[in-house]
Amino acid sequence: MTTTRSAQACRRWIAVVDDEESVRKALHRLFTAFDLDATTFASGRDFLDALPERRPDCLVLDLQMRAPNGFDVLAELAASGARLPVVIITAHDEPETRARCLSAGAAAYLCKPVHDQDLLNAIATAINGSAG
Amino acid sequence: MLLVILLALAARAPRLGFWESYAWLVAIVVISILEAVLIGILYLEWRRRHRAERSLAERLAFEELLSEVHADLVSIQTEDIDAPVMRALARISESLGVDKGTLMDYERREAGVYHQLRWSRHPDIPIPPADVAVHYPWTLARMRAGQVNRFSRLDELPPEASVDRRSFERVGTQSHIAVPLMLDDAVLGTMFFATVDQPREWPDDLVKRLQLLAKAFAFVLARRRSDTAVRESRQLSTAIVESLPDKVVVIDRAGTIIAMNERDRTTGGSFASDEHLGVNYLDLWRRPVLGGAGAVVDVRAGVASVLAGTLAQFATEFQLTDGNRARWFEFRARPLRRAAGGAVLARVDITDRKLAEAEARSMREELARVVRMTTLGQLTATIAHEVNQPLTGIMANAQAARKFLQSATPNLEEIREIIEDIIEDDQRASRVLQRLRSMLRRRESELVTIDVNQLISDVVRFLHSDAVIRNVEVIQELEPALPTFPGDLVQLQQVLVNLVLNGLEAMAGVPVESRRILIRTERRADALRVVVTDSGPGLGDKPLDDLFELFHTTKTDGMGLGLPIARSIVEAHGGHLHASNNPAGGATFSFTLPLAGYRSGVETSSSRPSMPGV
Repeated sequence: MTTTRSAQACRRWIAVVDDEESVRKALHRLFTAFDLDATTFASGRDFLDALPERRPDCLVLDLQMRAPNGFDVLAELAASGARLPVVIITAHDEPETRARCLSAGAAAYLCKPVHDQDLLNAIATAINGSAG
Repeated sequence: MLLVILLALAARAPRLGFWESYAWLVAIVVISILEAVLIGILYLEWRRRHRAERSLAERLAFEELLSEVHADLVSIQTEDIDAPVMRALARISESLGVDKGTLMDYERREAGVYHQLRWSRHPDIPIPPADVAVHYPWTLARMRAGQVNRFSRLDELPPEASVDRRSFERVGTQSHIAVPLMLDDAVLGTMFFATVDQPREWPDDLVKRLQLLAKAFAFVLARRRSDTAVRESRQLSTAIVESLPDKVVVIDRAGTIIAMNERDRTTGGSFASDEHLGVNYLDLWRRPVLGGAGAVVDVRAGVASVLAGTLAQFATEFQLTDGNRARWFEFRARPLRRAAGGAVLARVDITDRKLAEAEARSMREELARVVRMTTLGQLTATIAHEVNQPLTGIMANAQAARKFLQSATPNLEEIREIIEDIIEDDQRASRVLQRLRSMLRRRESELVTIDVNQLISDVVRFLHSDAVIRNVEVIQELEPALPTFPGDLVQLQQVLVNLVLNGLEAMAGVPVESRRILIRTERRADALRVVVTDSGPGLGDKPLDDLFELFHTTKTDGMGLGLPIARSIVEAHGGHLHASNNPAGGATFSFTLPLAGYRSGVETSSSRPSMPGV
């Protein structure tokens, strides 16, 4: 788990779950560059285990991972009643996958490789939507 | 008269006693008788001496005849014995003073009639019928039994020889003698003599002499038989060699060509012909030729090893360019099984077979390519993942760097690290694309050195995303330090991708915690074995060979090409692919890969080696 905390308390805190180290590292850099705090997790289980300690403002979640995969994480979040804004980023886009994620409670569904503004906008929208 | 005179004188003489009167007369009679006896004895002695001289002369003449006949017969060529034998027969007949002489060879027989050489004193003397078995059955039986058969006049023939007697009568035969030509206990023929004009005695000493002559003839017939047998055996061997579809060359221990068949004499060019007889075969192979799969074949060394006995057999395939046409040959060298050693070399043109194999291979390659494309279709999720993951890293890193650079004091160290990561991700994406391209490329078989463990690790890495998505654990149990072998890398990758992917798909309905694929490698005597075991539902009760039938599929989106093409690829590498159900559930696919590697294929080459006989 890699965490960057900004000195300002108002900064958003993003959790990233992806089994690929290079992707985790790159997304962490991106969020840092845009003044967001980010914590990365190598598996869905790591994230779910850490969740009771601290709830992120938004979760950026990969789908294709060893169990629990992205769907499993979504399902567990829904089951636990944690209304956490989730942005799905996936390398393999299928219409039914998109529909399945959105119906399982995901706020946004983006395809890799993801553009920075799209991702930041999706995160902002997800957080605002959740707050609203 | 003398007695009358004596009696008259006695009558006129004075009367004396009887003894006194006749004593002188008695003396004269006695003396006369003694004289007559003496004369008789002298006559008998003269006759005895005369007979002895005649006998000696006859014996000398016979010895002379015997030595002449021997000398004549010993030096004859066995291809044509008739003329010299006929000459000898005439000499003997003339010497015996007979009217007819015949020599019969029991081995030579035409239309059931024994070969006969006949001599007769006059052309008018009737010729007996040639079919001895029909006209002289009794005589022939005795002759074949090795008995001397003789009669001085026809009356001596026994009643059971009535057929023979009529035949003898018909041609005017008065006396006859038949002497068997025997060598050891074998009766090879018979010589017989006959008189026509008058009866004739055949005394025992004549028979003995004739038997000596018969030996000389028997020897000639025996030599002819053995020479014929040798010649026929040689002709048979030659005919066998000539009839072989292969080009055959026989060499002695030193490598000198001692025999070859006629084949390819018409093709001209670089193949051996008669002028190579006696030439050292090893000298004809001046340099190695091109074998299968681009390998260089040293035929000369192979043949030399067979000659030296260090190699039980040498076999290879090689290619030569005859004019503009590449031709393929199969070559075998085996020891010549004889005390003096040597080798038999056979070469057969397998160009047609090679072309057919090439066509089959080209079809298989095309089919394999289609199957690879289909497989990649099944792997779109994996491929998208494999490509998009590094692209995601690149994109995020690049955008972060751009943002960092907008700052008044950009952290250049951070930016340098970002660029390093971008390069690494870029390389990773490039490797994925390269692998995809190699799988989709239309290509001919390309043989490289295969490290099967490396190949398995690569395939597992390639399918990693798929295994992850499907929640399947892939375990590798690879025997370390396995030998390498020549093979087609892409095709073998395809076999393994197919087997692993089948396993991954088979486990969709299995609880996540039990989804497992085990890939094992092990060393066999002269091959490697790869075993892929899954914990899926198994292959069912249907015959497992059906799995390898083209277009046999149990999947809704499958074409039924994957396993047939996998089997054909393994078989092209000389191995076998088998399927089985595990006792504890799940399926196992295993294949062998002989270390000898891929079967030789038709490769073209511009090199044109010198081409000896075979």
